[in-house]
Amino acid sequence: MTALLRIGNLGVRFPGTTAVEGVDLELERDEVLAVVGESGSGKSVTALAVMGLLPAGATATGSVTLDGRELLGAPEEELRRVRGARIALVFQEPSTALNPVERVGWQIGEVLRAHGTPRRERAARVAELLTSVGIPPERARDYPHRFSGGQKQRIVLALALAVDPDVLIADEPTTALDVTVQAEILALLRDLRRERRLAVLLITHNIGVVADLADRVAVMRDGRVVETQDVRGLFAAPATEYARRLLAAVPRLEAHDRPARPAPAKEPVLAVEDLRVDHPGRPATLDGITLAVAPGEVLGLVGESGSGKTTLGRVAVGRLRPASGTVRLFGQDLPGLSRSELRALRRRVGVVHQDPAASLDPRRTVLESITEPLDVHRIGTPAARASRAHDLLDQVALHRDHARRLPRELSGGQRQRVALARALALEPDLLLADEPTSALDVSVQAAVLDLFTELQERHGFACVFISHDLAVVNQVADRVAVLRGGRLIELGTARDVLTTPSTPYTRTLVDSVPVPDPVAQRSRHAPDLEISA
Amino acid sequence: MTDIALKAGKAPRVRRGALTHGRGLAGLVLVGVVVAAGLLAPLLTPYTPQQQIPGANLLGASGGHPFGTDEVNRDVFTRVLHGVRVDLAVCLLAVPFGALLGGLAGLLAGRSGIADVFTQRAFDVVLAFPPVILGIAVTAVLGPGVLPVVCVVIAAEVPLFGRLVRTATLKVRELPYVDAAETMGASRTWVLRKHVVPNILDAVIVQLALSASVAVFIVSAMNFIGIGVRPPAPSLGGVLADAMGQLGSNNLYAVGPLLVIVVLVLGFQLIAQALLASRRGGAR
Amino acid sequence: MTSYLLRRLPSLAVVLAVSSVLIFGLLRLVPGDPAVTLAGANATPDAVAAIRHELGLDRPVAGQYLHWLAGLVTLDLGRSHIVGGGIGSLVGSALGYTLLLTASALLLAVVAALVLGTLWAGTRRPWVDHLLTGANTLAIAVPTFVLGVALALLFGVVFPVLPTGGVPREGLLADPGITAQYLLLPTICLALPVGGVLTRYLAESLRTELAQPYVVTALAAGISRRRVLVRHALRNVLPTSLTVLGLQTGAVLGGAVLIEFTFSWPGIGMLIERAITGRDYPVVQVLLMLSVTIFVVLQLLTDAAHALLDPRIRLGGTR
Repeated sequence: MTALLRIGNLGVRFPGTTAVEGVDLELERDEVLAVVGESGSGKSVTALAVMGLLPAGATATGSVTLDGRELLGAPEEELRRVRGARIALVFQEPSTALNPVERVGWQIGEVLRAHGTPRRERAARVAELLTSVGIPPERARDYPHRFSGGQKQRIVLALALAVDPDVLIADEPTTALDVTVQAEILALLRDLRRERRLAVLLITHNIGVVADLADRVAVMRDGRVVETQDVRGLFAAPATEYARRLLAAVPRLEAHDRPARPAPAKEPVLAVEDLRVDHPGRPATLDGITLAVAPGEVLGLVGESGSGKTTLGRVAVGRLRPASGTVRLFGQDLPGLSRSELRALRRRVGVVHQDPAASLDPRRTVLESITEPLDVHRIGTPAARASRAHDLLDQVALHRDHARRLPRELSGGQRQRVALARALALEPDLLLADEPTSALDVSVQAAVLDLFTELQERHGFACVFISHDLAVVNQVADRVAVLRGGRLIELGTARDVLTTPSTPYTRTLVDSVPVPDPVAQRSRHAPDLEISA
Repeated sequence: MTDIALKAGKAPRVRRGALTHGRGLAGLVLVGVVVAAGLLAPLLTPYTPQQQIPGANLLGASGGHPFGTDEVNRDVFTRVLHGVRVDLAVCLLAVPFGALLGGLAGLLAGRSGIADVFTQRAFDVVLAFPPVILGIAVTAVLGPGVLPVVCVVIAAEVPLFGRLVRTATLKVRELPYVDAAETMGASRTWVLRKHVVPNILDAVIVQLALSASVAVFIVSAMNFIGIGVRPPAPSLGGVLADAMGQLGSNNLYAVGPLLVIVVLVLGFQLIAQALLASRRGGAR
Repeated sequence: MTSYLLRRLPSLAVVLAVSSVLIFGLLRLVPGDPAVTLAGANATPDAVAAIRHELGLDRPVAGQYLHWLAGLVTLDLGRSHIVGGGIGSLVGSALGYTLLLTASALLLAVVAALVLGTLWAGTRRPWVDHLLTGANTLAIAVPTFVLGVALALLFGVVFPVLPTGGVPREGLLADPGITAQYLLLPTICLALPVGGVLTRYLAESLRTELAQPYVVTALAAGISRRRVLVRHALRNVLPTSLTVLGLQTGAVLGGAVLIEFTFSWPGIGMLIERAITGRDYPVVQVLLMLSVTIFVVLQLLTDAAHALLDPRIRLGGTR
């Protein structure tokens, strides 16, 4: 039995580090092999090595064979003829994967041209390809910026499959997309794979996507494959401790019991009424929003990109003025406050941002970052501030030695812990967390979420927790508000909204989240087929 | 007030080491040699720049006159060394002053909409006059001399630094850590002092080195076309312009000042490149 | 796209208006009576009065400004008292020479940048990279006029093969071969720094572009590296490169003055130099205004070209 694509003892070295070592993978015809792992595990580098597209300075050793023919070290022209024609690559960021200044039809035509399709046949073939991925063929003359993220990913797929390759390497093909769009692209991938009998090497960190699509799974960690198994086998009985932990860390959408909170006796920490926010020249960013956050309550704010959840968060803490409606923070009307009154009010607010790379000033040490709120409000002596910072470091489970480090000397998860410590320095009554874990790996995310829950229970602050990830919100929130296109679609307890949604949109949203269980996830496809049939 | 915090974690400078090897070191040595030669000019030559040496008309290079002598019997080497002093004095005076003025204008522009529009248009107007043309305009009013040269260098630097500081400020202020600081109640002054200024300083320092090389160019260009330092006072551009008429007789007459100008400009450029490279490397 | 360009217009109009006031004010700022200066040392009071009247100095300031502006717009530029002749014809003939020089320099710079910038960005050989880095640093670092003197010395004195100054005696059009010889050295001098800046910008933005995901997409689909570089990536950096070229206009205009002075090229630069040493203020004013106008017009042109080349602006209308 010979595999279609065989990776044998692959090693990739960059100057000073080894990215991949001793990787063995085999891909059969008509099979989906998922490669999962967290960032830095070497999965993307493996894909580039197969394509012969490693960046300058990297060296690959071992062997990569396609139908028994060695690709590693093959001459550039031979590799070029393999790329696109035998092995194709699709990757994460559809917004940048297409050339912004060329028409999409031309870009697909370029691939046909590179593989010898005569000029007069190209236009027809482009139209055919666009149709096959669900894009109207007349849109071949449009530029990429005229398409949505999901449409762009469809076009990238059409481009990759232009000359009928045997192998498709899909590197995080749905990571940058909203869940509902992700569900559509996954369905398209399933169809394409069935029609063309494609062998797919699916690289992803999303366990739900693996459960949806993969036949076999290889788990990578630190540049090595730690486990390769049949997908059902892996989810049922992971052989290695690492795979077991990875699977356990995935947040799930199932209802889970959390202790009921005491009913809000006092007035809400934050109350928003009939709020409207405009951007000049565009439809209202937010319209008719009414909601309240009780003391000690975690309100999850979910929605797809462009739904206005971040805007709502900014309005709530007085960073953005509403066009109309009221915003009451700690019982005070925000729009009416002077700048100094607002500043005093913000002493009681903490924020955690999404991007761990930019949420800390690169020139300030961890200690300086954590004491910043205390410095700003001149609380305590410098010595007292430092000891408070050390105390906070303990609380977010960082070592005191980290105090002297700079952000770039920390990992993403550590930076988010520092950001959390900074947000808690003033013992806030309200915490605004905007996608605090979406840039983190699953296992890191799980640890940060656990830490968040623990701190929230200890300090009892109220929180507006913004996220696109329903499962994450399900894990931390008491109540959930669903936004879509600037409007509040649904508001209720986490259990009600996420398990028995009352609106069709929320139902679609919930159904689109791939379940990290191959049996359950695949059984959900069945109704799909019935509808389309 | 934050002394303890500062002491507890002194931020390692990204720039440290940029000038101790490679391009940076080469640039530093080039500039250093010229600066030292300018400073030590009276010790390095027995003549004064205006001194006419009897019988030494357009002599070629020799031990006594490394760059030979000019058409009125002066030692070219001496005039070049003293010319360096003038050029460097102008640069050291005008560049930091222009940077300061431009930087403040840029910070101001980042603060309010009206100030932004006003300063932006003002920069546009100044930039519409290329430095040499601006020099001509200023000289038309003030007459030739050191003052117009200083004015022109300052005027050329202000919009450069203004725009740099403005865009850098706006960029830094968009970053989540500034948003976090403002949301927790930090004042504008705090954000400016603690986040904006430290984070744009690197870009300003690179621009300072670049600007120094541009300034050397402007000063010597203005002197070259005769709208700068008044002869017989020596200047690099002036000596070069004089040499233009004598290309056939004393080759080193032109080569001397030419070499010094190139070394200075190149030196500052190399320093700027090295700083820029270390900045990029430091920022991941 | 029209709205994109329309939004650029007010700022350019402001630049023109403010500059014209500044340049007009120049004459008023000059110490002493400009009419006396212009008339010369031993002019009769009548001659001085005549010049004063011609320049409108006997009228209110606002009226003078409008008179001067009207003269500029109708190309009725008056007479030069010191250089001699009508300012219009002086500027006209000089402009021809300067345009020839700057156009050939820009052409050389752009061609060199396209070739060398692409080569620099695409090379995988370290020595090519080092060579081009060094040459580029030198090209940017060596001031135009310094290079001019060096080239004049090298090709005029050490290897006397090329004319080092002036223009062909029979006129530019008499023998293109001879004209090219005269043009060669000043063109190289003027083109080198601009070409250097442009080459570096092009190479750096191409390198940034080559790290973009769409390049990996194209390479992974089997399009050759060469084609990706010269067709896909280059097309992407053209709009911004054009803007950089537009911003270099200032350097070219300033450089032209120096180069013309060095090589006795009878263009605008020589004229402005003569006017300034002769304190011929009306000529200086016209030339300064001309320089600002050229600068502003080129800004607008590069903006328009940028918008045309970038479909996101051409079709979007915003951004």
